[in-house]
Amino acid sequence: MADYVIVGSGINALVAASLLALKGRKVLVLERNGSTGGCMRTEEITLPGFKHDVMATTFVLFLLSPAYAALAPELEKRGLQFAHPEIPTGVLRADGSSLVLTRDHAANVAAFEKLASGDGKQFDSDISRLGANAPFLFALLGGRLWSWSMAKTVAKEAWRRGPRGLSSFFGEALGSARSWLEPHYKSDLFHALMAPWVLHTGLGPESAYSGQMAKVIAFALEAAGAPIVKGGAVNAVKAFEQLIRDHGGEIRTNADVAEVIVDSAGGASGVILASGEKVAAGQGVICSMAPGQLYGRLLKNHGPADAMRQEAKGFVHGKGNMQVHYALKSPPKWKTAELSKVALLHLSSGLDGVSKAVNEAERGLLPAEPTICVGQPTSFDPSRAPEGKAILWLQLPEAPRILKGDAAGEINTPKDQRWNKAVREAYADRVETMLSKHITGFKASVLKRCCYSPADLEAMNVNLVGGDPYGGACTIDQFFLWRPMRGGANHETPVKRLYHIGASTHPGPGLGGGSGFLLAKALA
Amino acid sequence: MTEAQGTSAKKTYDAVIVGAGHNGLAAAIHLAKRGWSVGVYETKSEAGGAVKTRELTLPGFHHDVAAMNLSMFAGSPFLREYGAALGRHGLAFAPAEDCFASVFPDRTWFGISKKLDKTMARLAAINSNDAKNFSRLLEKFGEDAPHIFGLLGNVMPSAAAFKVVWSAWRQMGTAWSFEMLKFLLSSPRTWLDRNFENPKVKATLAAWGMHLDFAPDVAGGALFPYLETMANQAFGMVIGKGGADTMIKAMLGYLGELGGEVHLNASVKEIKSSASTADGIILASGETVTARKAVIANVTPHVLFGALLPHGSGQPAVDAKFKSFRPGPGTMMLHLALKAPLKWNAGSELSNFAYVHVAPTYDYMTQAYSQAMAGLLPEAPVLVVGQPTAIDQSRAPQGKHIAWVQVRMLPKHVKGDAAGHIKAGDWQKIKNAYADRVIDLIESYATGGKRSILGRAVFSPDDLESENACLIGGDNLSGSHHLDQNFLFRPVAGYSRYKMPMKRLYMCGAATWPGAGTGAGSGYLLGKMLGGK
Repeated sequence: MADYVIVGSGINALVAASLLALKGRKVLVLERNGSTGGCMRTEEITLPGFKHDVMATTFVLFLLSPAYAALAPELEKRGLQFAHPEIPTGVLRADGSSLVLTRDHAANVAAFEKLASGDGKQFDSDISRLGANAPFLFALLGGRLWSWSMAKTVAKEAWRRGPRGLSSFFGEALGSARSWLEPHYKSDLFHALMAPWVLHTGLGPESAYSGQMAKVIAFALEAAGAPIVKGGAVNAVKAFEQLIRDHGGEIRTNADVAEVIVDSAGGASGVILASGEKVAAGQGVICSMAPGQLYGRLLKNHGPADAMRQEAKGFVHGKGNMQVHYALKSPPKWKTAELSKVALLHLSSGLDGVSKAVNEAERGLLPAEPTICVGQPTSFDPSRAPEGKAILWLQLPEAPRILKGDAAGEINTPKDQRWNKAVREAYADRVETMLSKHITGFKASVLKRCCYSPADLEAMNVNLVGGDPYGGACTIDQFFLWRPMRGGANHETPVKRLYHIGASTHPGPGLGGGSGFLLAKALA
Repeated sequence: MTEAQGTSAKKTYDAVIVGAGHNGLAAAIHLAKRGWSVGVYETKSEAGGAVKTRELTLPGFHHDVAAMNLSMFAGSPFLREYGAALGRHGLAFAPAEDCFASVFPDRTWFGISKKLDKTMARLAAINSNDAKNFSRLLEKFGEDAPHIFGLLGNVMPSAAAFKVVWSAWRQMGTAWSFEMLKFLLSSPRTWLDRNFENPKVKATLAAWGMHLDFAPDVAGGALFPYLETMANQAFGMVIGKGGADTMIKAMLGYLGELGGEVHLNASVKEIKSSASTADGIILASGETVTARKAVIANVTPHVLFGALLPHGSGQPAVDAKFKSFRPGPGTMMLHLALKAPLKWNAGSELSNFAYVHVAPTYDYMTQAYSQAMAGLLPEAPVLVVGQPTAIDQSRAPQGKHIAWVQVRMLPKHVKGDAAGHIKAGDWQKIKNAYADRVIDLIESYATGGKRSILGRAVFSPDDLESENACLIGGDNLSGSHHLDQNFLFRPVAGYSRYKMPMKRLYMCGAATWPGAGTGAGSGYLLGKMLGGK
């Protein structure tokens, strides 16, 4: 019998399983889909030989995570290798103006200073201040919140900074990206470089604490770049699986868990699969999924979880996401040559443009000018495509969950307000037109395009409710102490020995594997 | 009241107060009552700051230039102590039975009236579950209110505020405190979606967030729809009898009785200091005034750390934080003199309401907000249509009426027009074109309103700023109230207790905790801090 049954096989589940296995616990991972990895999947979805990371691709948060620090040697032994781009990120505006962020801090400072006098200095002081705050900041963003060590950390900071210093730390941390960028940086182009990144934290540029998150990202990109896994994200999953099996763990796919078994003492003693098969768990059950799945399905017959079930109904999911993948005859010929070296390039008209597109998506409209995040894996991992060919990974983070209309008034949306193939492809065409303005002969170079609407993503992964890739809105009232909701403290649930991890739980989304790491550390 | 002359002999007071807005006057009254000699210096010819009443359109039509709703003043701790005295000096309120409502494009409406059965009947007609939800919240309000108002009514942070939080935790428990904290961080939308079903009910309540800079999705905004709705239901709404300035006139009268002196047309050039201690002010006239105990700046940080402290406070890093205090979006005031009350298409009963909001959906509000934040004139503006003459006929000649229209969420610098009609440019050039858009919008909800207009006065965001230098870019709330600038972060983290980074220098006003409104909160709290309770 397994000590721990782990339901789901996303990054947090794999991190938890690996760490527990390394500590000698017997783990059993159960995945409802045909393959493991959650949002980490690499498939030849366009043409043979073209390896696309269907969803998650950038491992910067993983590289900086305590999980990686603990697992790196074991995973590398099992074939995990990263490819590092020359330039982590950049922005390209409709008028062709562009700006990049390199991994060379001094060079960035110089470039921003050249853009607008004062901006370089401001960036330098913002990043170095964030560096100084990093230990505290990352403790809050990645630490176990309800713990003595967190209490001690905060107390220590209060002592070091004084009450005034501490309150000003938190005050500043609550500001929006707009309130960070507009007053402190003169250059619109710099605003445009930073603003789109808040979308990758599940926020918008007007959201509370989005300014702090933008700084954290700038800091992280400078420190660790925007690495991807050589050969595809799937190779990270394979390394995890091997690690788990090598330590006596078991992994089963197509194993759809329908219910958690709660014993007479109110503890989780195993799970029942949709097939009716019972699987026992000696020490506990760990569920890596959205609250709706856990409380609405796996615990639906469990009375004591009623309160949490109600809470789960009020759990808010964020904007949808759309993915567009290209197989290309040849690497894109950007009209600005430097851009071919950028790992993640945003096409954006700037701070106001991101704000407008976010607002349109929140109003259920297809943004007239969406922010386009263009990933160029083949530019630094040639193994992703056949010799001489290339792929592009496009993410559209401002996709409405329900469709009320089109902000540009061009695309007819269906009465049922659901995404369908026609809308998806029409919207992808809009994006393709925007993109091809900047790449010579782009349309001619396309071998195949493959798109995933928010609805497609949810169909692929039941935890991406409405195509929200971040496991629930990351607004402050649903983050930190409040993620996923009251009673979710330290990944515990109303059921003894039943634990809840995943993007819907603290410390939230991203490939950092934070919740899996925190739980495994607490359990073993 | 002594009207001292700018050129009179060298003056000395215990406390010199810069700015005759109601918070400055509240501080002055409390200190004078505690035996301090106080001198208030106001650059304008009229006291009152954002609380003024004038015949802006035609003779006999009395318009509240900016603030109109005096409910916060009527319910304030300050008034609890000084109500009787101010009554002697003519303070009088006009209570509204029908408080606020929203109109919808499908010619329906929903509103809150002081008579609970009226509100409940309307709710029941729209959605019976929301009727239950509303009563549940109203009951809970009884339990929660003491703790919330306790928090709003104390210096932040302070032992007293901590005591409020502590006793709340002891009485209500951890779960409640945890939920309350989550609530304080919530956006109007998350809170309303958790508590109500019907979109019209939600939109009607959400409109209160737009009175500040809380669009439906802005974190920390849930508090305002909640408090305003519950307070209006429980206590109703009041405006000033004859004009909002009744409270200013009464405060001036009582301050005079206490020996306080108010100097109008007395522009303060700078704050005087020696050995990094504020010890008085220098007037534009060159006259210097000495302050023995305190200099109280009842102005926004931009004014205090701009003009009034030309050499800074001596702590440049701190000064920089005050200078980067962020204004909220701008406001336009549109004052109308009317032949007849607005006849709302949605129902004649609407003519009785103090406020009618034109903010029919979440989407409508978030769009206006996001366009304003991006520097655009909102294509469909959010309106607060105040109808003072529905409550207080004395505001206009017999049979005539006025409308007080506040256009929320406008950019300080106009980069363009979201509707694509009005060319970007100076407010002076475009304000009338935009006012026309506002009037057309009102006409679409109240047919015939246009024809009944006898006169209008338009105050663009720029005009409001020149009326009152503290309303930066027409921000009538003296600074964004978003989480990073509210509670113990207002106006600047570490300086939320009115003490400025210079000895004997203090700040009060809407830019300080507990923020904007006519509640005299900061002035009274500072007064008690200096003069004792």
